[in-house]
Amino acid sequence: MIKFELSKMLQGAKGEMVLSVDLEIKEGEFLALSGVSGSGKTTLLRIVAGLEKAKGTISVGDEVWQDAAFSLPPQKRKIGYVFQDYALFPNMTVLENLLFVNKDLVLAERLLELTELRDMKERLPNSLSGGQQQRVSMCRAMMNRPKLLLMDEPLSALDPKMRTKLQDEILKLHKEFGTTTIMVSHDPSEMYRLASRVVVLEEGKIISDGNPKEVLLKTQGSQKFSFEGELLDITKVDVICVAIVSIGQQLVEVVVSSQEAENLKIGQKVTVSTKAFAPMIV
Amino acid sequence: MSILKASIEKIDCVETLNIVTFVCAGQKLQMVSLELPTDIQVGKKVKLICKPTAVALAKPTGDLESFCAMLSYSNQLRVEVDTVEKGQLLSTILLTLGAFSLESLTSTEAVERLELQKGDAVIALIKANELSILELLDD
Repeated sequence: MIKFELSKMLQGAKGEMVLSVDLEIKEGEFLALSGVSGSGKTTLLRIVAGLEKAKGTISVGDEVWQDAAFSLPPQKRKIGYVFQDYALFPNMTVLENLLFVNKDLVLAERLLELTELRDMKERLPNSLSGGQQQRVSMCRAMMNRPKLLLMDEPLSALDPKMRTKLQDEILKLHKEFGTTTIMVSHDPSEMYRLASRVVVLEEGKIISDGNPKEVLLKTQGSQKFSFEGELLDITKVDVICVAIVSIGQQLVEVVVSSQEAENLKIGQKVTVSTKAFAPMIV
Repeated sequence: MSILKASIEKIDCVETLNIVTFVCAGQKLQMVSLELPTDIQVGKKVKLICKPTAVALAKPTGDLESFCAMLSYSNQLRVEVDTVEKGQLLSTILLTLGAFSLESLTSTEAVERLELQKGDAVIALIKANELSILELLDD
């Protein structure tokens, strides 16, 4: 069991805010940490890694990493950290990057095998694609057999196809090593595929905590097909009205009756929803 | 999912609103739609698509014409029951419309009430807003 009870005053977008997180993570759990920018996700990872100071306690199994009187230095905490921008040593080969952490050649070879990087072990990082570099960085994070793997939006710089491939590799590594993992992510499909638990932070506090479907599935009453959007326009045609709503990067049209349209104002946030029985997938 | 091939017989248009009339296996179908792509024109052939959840069934006992005249459904297709797969709560009924297959998802209670079985002549009822064009066919 990994336990945090942490608090820290942060400078948020809307002035000062208190990051206050009380979390228990089971061994082997894959936890996705979500929330808007500035909600404290990266700060929380950095505190757990010992890169930033905060009040409170961190215990990992029977080891104490931090309490009121003591803070274990970052290099002594058994963590792996994967950053968005890979952070590899450019002058070392792939294999050297791994062995720098720990001179365990057997483990390095096994990790490179698992992530299909064996043929590239003598190459320098800048001769690899972004996806390959991030795989190297994931392997390197596993080299000291971490008790806790921290990943800060590891796939957000990659294109969707590479992202899916790396999600598979992350799953493979997680299955093989069973490392307790905390991954910061904004991508619902990524969290659904990888995580067994999703925690959402807002203004430094946990506002939602549960299995991915509970947390991520947007519902409105009994309607399971639901999206948040902004009402851009309403046009009357014949006896009906056509509402244009922007959802994510897309515009959609929804037919509403004149009576339904009476309660709608241009610019307002709306939920567009229907029952799970209605939409078609083609 | 049900896919029917049909040809466009008529397009009625008011501003951005359209009602398109099709013919499929000798029967009339209608779809209501907002703006249509410009290549959707009278005489063209299309694939139509309809969710099985949007297909209701009727098994009239008396005069068919007068029964149909009383319903507001734009699509009242004379079809034959091909298969009935009964679940505990819901059932899937496959229907034959000429060379095409139409699927209906309905409650098992309704299937039992109508005593639906293979070979039954029934009316498939679909509101015009539940029918859509999947794609334009080349020929």
